[in-house]
Amino acid sequence: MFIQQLINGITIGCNYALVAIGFTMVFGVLRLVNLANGSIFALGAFFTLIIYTAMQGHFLLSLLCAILATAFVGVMVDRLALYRLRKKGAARVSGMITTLAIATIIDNAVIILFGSQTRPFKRPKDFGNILIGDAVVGKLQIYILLSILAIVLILSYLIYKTKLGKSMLATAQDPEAAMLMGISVNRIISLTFAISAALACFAGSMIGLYYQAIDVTLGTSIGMKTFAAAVLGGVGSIPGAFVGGIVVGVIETFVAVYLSSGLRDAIAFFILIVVLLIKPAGIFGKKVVEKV
Amino acid sequence: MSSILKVTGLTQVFGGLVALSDINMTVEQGEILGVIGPNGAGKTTFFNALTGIIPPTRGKIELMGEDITGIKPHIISSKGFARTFQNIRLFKKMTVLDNVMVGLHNKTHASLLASLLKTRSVRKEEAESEKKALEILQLLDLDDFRYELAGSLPYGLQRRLEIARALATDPLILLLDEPAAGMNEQETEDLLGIIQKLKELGYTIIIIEHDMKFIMNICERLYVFNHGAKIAEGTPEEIKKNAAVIEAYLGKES
Amino acid sequence: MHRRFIGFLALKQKFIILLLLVFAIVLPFTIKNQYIFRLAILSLQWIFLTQSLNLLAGVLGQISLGHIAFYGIGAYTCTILAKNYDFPTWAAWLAAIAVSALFGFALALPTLRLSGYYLTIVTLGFGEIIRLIEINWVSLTRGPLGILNIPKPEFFGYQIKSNIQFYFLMLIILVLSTVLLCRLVNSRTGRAIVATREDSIAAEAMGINIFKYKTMVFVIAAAMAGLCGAFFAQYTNYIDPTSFKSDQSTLLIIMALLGGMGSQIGPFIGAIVLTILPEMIRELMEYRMLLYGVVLLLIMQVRPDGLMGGVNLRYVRQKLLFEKERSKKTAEKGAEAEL
Repeated sequence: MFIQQLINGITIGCNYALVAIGFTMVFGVLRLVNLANGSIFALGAFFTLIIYTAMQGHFLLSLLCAILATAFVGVMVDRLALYRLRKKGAARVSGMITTLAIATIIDNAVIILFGSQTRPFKRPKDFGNILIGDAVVGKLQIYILLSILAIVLILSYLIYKTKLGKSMLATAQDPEAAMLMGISVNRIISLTFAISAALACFAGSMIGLYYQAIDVTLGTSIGMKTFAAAVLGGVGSIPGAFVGGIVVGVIETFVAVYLSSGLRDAIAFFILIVVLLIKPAGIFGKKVVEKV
Repeated sequence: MSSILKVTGLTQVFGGLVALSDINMTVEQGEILGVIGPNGAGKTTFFNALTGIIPPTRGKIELMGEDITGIKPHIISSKGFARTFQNIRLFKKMTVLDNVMVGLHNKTHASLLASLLKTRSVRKEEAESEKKALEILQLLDLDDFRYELAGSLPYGLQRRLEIARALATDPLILLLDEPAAGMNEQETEDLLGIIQKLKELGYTIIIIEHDMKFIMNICERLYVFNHGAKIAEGTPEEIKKNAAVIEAYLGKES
Repeated sequence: MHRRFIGFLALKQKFIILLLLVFAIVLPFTIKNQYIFRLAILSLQWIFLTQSLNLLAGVLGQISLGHIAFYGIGAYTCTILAKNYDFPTWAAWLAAIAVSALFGFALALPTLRLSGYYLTIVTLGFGEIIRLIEINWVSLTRGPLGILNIPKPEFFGYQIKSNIQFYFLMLIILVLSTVLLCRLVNSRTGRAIVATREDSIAAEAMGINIFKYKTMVFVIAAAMAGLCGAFFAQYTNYIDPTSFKSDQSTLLIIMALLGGMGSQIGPFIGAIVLTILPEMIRELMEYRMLLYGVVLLLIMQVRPDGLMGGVNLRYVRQKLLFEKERSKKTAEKGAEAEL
């Protein structure tokens, strides 16, 4: 029972981790709290569902198309709404409020197009279960875990080992200096948004498969849970977001099983508030001192 | 003479990096003291420690014999420290007059409830503090700009307004952090006149400044910081001849 | 154009306020349609609610993404006490104010250590926790079913039940809040709050206990929203958690932003426009929230401070009068010189 719930928690948590990594990357590069991240998560899941339904089969291909479409939306969000604000040197809070506007637009567009009810998310096939000790684990869970692990590894390689990733880190450190070094900062920013949206789409589709259902409110709650995850790990830290996501997933699964399923969604915010009060910089974050 | 400020063994460490080490200083009533040193010498850190913005790691700060080390900045302000900032920190969207009236915060007492009821004593206090603020603005020749937004003032006047705001707190010691930075010659000249005027009024002032001519002109005593430590103290004449100071500024001659 | 208009507003302030007040008093006697009446009352209520957020987000500068939670706390407190425990209205309202204020105080505590984004995220989490409690604490709130048949307010034997009575009740609250907010902002306390927003480090160096003022604003803003919630519950007769969802918090932010953060007329413009506009274009009702999102996006692109953002009419008035006087003086001097 315990092992099984632990694996369930990790499965959910890995998805949170992906979304949280996207959130934290955007924050790292732009110091922007992207409140639209959860909405993009839901949008991505809907894309996958729609394309999959339309294509009748070919789940992986549908997923790939959806990821590309969501990444495009992510880039457009930046290009159409945030780019101008940056160019004007608007206050950071304007950027955050803009993402709130985008979240509202995406959520309601999804409701208008696909309805506000929960939609069934059909699995391409029955994956079946395997036994680990006495825990019954869905093969789908194993696939999800493995694919997310692979994504995180590839992403880490991209960020920490390639020139492109290093330009990204440089931009996060100091955009002006990065620009002077010949890095095309706007391209890096677009790329970051694209990756962030793609990660959200993948996680959204996996959650859809796992629960076999998707609805738009899931985006809002995932959005907030992944802030919690990112803040827990230390905003801006990618390993932190990964660990934070898994911790949030595991804790909420245990709370739902052992305490009350009503508390399930609230627990992430309790964690969030407690962490912020005790260690605002998170587990992996660094304390920032304002220069006087 | 009675010293109003006594600093002993003031040390500031940031995560292993020593920003200030063992600073001792005494300040007498009515004197104008300069703190100089190359960039990164710990001058602003020293001010931040004095005013409680970043409390010191070790050491003791006594103002009028009272230990004020490590207490909250707003309480330190009410004890008698007022300061200006190296990167101007005005309340940009408030008027010049209101900026100075914020400085009068601890000299006034209107409570929230009394303000909401607009009692007679509140109205009287408001009128008085406005008058007081205008006097300070006149002293600094800013009264023509009283209803302008602080952020819309030209640079030199913004620096002057910071001094006005600090004066409003009626300080025992005024700390000026690079008051002449970024000013043109005329503005520097005006500033010199103002500090002279404040001196005549009996204010005790500590100035951080890079402009050597400026500081040699106005200060009676100088402290020289380098790498967080005090390397010299004395009159401007003594400092000019001090070997350690020359070395700090010009580098070791090979 | 904008500048001259603001100048006009500032100089003719008293006259304009009088005119608006007369309009607000006459208006209900001309309304025959129940639906429009409801809209008028809701507009007043949203103005009041926006004022409370404006105090927090505009005057103090702390954006809250969960402000509607206080409104919900007020609504539920008042409802439960009035319905289940037969509290007289004044006591239920006081309790609604007190409980919301208490939560406001609790939410202010993190300001000791946090600021900016982190605090904004805390407000978001707070709003969500409160909503989840409203849904899940079924024995107290009846969860998603909501609570029906909330008793009407009654003040010392005088029962408020008709639309016109509710209208005037809210109008009185609103007039009072407007007067008090203007006094607050232009007082010693108000200056301390604005200084804290403008530069908290400088404010502290000027002797301002910024924690005290932040807490004060959180408590007042929460109390106002709580009062508004109590009114809303007793007016609509029915509450359920959907009235306190996070998109309502977003709507509040849009209202505050459209009118202009930190300005005392902002909430009037933002709340009235955004309450009435979607109703006027009925075909758009389905797209209401989408429309709000677009409006918010546009404001941020065109005028991030909102229509009246950063405009303090008292400042404008002072400046204009001062300049007038000065030019008069120079003109007199000039005339003397000519003689």
